[in-house]
Amino acid sequence: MTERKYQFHWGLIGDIALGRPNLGPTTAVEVYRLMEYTFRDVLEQELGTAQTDRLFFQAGELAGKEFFQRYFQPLTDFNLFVKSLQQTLKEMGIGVLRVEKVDLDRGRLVLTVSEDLDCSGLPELNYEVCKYDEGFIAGLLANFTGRQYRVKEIDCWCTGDRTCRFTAEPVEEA
Amino acid sequence: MSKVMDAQVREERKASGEIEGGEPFPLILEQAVAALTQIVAIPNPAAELPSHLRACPALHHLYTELLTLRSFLLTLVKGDLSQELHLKGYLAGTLKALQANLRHLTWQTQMIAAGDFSQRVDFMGDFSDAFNSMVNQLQENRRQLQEKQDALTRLNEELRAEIERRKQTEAALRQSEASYRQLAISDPLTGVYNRRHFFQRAQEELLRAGRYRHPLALVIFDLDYFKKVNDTFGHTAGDRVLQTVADLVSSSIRAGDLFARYGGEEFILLLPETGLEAGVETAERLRRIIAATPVSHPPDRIQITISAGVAALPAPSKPLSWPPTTLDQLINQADQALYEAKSGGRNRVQACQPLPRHNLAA
Repeated sequence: MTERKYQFHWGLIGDIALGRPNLGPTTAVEVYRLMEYTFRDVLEQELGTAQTDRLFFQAGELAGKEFFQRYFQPLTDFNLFVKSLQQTLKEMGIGVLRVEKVDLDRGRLVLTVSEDLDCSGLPELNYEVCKYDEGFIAGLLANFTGRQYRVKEIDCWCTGDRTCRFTAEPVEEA
Repeated sequence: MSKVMDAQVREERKASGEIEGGEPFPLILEQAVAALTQIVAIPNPAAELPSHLRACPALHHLYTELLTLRSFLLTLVKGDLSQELHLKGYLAGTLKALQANLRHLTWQTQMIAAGDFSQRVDFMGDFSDAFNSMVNQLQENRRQLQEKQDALTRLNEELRAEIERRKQTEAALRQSEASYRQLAISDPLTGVYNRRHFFQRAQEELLRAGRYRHPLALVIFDLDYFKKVNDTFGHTAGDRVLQTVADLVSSSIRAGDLFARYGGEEFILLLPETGLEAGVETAERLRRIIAATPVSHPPDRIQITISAGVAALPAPSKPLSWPPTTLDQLINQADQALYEAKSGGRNRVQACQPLPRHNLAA
């Protein structure tokens, strides 16, 4: 693809104060989920389940990268980064991030996200749905550490858990 | 126990009307309930369902899951957060949420231990309040401790600075004291010993010479025609001549020799362990050195000569204590010899005769 129409930049978010003087910068979680799960539906019909999951992961990864660069770029200390990320995710209503385990030497982490924007409260589906979250976390960590990250959701509200749990580890370079 | 429970369950169901006409549930159902009740109620439930109940896969699956949940719950109660629960579903999810909270709490505690007092707990009810109060108190204690430590460090630094100041003052005092001591014993123009210090030290040398039976020589010399130097070249030039002569002599005698300005252009030199003949040789050597070293006074060169008289005490045959007047006698003799040297034409050394022993004895 030589010319792009939809390449992301923060300008696309627009001037919300100008555009929504009465409704403001927030919307119902229901609407967010409506968009997410209708996207998922249509993409699956068009591209299949695996490709849909992959696209959601990639979109989340891009969002994680952009989010990091916009809000956390100067941070180099891991604990400060986590604290700042926790606060931002909470303030924006994205989820309650908690750290379960950190192995800084190996770059491995176990994180949980409660009250997750994408899945908390969904019916039990017997599969994990937070592909976008996986990508989002991978994008954040990759930009903080400078290494590619593999992130996997191992527990999810949709599989009966009360909190979503993610493992993250650097992708070994060949 | 199961029989008692069976009877109790039947009576309760009869009473509530669940069992119409007093007919019991099928026995196999009651056995299944009893098996599941074991998991909830007793410490050591059977690891497997009775074989005839295993024929029902759903019951078997439920029994196995409940055992797993029970085991996981037990590890949580013991504080072991390392186990992984691979079951899905509400109950498993709830237990995993509890485990996640405890793990996060552990991590937060580790962060606090590492000095991050901004950690707060907001997901464990009353415990959160207690924990956060504890962290606040820790932070406050640490702040106070840090303040005290900073105050101590400042005091320590001030103390060090004070010690350093005192050391410098002490060193300056020592330097000053040494300087005053040197001034007290030195001639201010030439830097060699002054007359008072010479007499003090010379008496000590005299005693030492008597005690160890050593000879001792004394030289008195003065600069020939020094008044003419002052009159011709000025007093500043005269001072420089005196300094030059003092430097030449100081650098040409032994460390143990005692050299002083006697007064005006006169100098005095005590030579321990030196007889008359060696004393004359020394005086002669000094005379030659001085004569060969004109003092530069551009555009002139001032030629200096000295006249010297030499006297000596012989080595006693036995240890004795020379009387204090001996030094005066020795000086008088050397002075007399100096007079003779001057009378004899100057720029020369004149020895006196050794003092007769009967004049020297105490």
